[in-house]
Amino acid sequence: MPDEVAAERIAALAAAARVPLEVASAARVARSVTPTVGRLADAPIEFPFETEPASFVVVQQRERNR
Amino acid sequence: MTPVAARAVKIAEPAQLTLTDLAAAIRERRLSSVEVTRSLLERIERWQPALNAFVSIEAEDALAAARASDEALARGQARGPLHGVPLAHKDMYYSAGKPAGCGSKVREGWIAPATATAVGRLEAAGSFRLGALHMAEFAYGPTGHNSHLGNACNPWDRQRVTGGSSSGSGAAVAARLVPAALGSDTGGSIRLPAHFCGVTGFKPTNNRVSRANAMPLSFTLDTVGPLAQTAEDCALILATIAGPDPLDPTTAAAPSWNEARAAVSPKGLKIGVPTRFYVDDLEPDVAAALDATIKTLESLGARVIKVDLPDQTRVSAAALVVLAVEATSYHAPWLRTRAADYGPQVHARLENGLAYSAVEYLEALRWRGPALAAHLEALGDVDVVLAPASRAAAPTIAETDVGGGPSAEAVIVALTRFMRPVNYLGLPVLSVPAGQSKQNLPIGMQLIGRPFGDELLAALGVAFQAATDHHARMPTLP
Repeated sequence: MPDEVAAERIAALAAAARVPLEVASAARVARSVTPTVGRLADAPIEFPFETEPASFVVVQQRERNR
Repeated sequence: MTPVAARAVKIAEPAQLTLTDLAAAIRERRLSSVEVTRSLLERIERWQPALNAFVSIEAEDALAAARASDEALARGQARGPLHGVPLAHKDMYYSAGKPAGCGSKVREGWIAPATATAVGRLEAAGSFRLGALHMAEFAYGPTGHNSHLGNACNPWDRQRVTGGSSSGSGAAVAARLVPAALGSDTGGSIRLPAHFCGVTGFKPTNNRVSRANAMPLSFTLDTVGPLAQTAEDCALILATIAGPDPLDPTTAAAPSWNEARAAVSPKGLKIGVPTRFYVDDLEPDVAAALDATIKTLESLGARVIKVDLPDQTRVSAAALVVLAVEATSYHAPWLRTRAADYGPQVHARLENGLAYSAVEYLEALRWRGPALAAHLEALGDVDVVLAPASRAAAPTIAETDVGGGPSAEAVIVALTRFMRPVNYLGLPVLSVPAGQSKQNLPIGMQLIGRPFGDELLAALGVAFQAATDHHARMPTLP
């Protein structure tokens, strides 16, 4: 992910989601989410290829009988 | 613990009793349900104009339910451990045939077709509905501001925020307008009001309590839990609502409440205090409360050590992505057709959810298991992590009244800084009152457990509150 989020990217994603978004709002959203995007982009999130969202439940359930 | 009867005689109004004591007093017919309901309604009449904690007060229906409860008890027909207890919940828990506005204009006047499983279980245990409580619009705000309903106010200082999104639940329990209330916690919405209002809040392990027929915000992160005066009260609520529910498949493997585990001694427990993040940049009053809590836990026989947790800022960022995308997904149909009916801050936050691609969202979601595994590895054999709920006590309504303006996201992120990692990792957390600021405002501490360690937190909270009296402090109406 880029460090700076462009307003054009937000506008394109909103259009793809079929949600109306004003030009000024796209710029505001871009500024708002840049810190979060930047934090995740600082270093790539690494995990095994096979990982899926439900892997969370597997880890969680291991603790059940602790 | 002091015996119930001894505690009760010190309290002038039934409304001031804890949930546990109130339920026992009704069950043992030392108080009638009607007396309790009238006491709460009288208190609500005095406080509601100052706090705006309720969105509806159903006095006549509640008194009728109280009379029916008393008559049933006289016939020897107690329904359960909450027999005759009036409760009110955040206005996002559906009750069939009742309105559930969810703090919004979009759902104003909407009538729920079914009852939330959590509410149904509380009512099956004998409780009944007193009304519905204020909340942030669609549970998407950490302060208690609401541009449709007006702001909820903090009973300790009406110029200050209650915390959100369970704003009415925090304010009403603090002012003793209800003995307990359900809140919901997706990014701190139980723990922030508990901290700012000086009550006890319990965010259970994710997938432990059914979310069926409760308004959704994020299907990955949403949790249902109580706010009450004490950890003992929260445990009573969780014992009633936890466990599998066919209407919420995420609870399929949820254990029911284990009373034996909730009664263990804190002696020998290992408590971890983070070396960074949760202890950075604390206001002096909060730092002092943390130190005092450590000393109390040590005096109870717990062993307090330092713990070096994985980078919480990345965990927090992943939580933001998941929350933002899922919330916007729920609201996309209304964003297309009724955008003007949202308040400016919620509208702006929902627009933020458009910013992430499907790949970014799914990476954040897939990382959740590995992130929890890394957290547990860092904990080693630590049972509970102790951390402040926030770096400061309640800010003013004015200084956090940023609407959807350019500083809104920064204010929200700052307020919820110590909240979000726990939601992402799905951990149970008990928030307990643990001190006061120089302005006499409550300060809360989080006891963060391991997955399904909810009962251990309850046990630790009960022991902590037997050794302290922060939870017993009560605001007065000016």
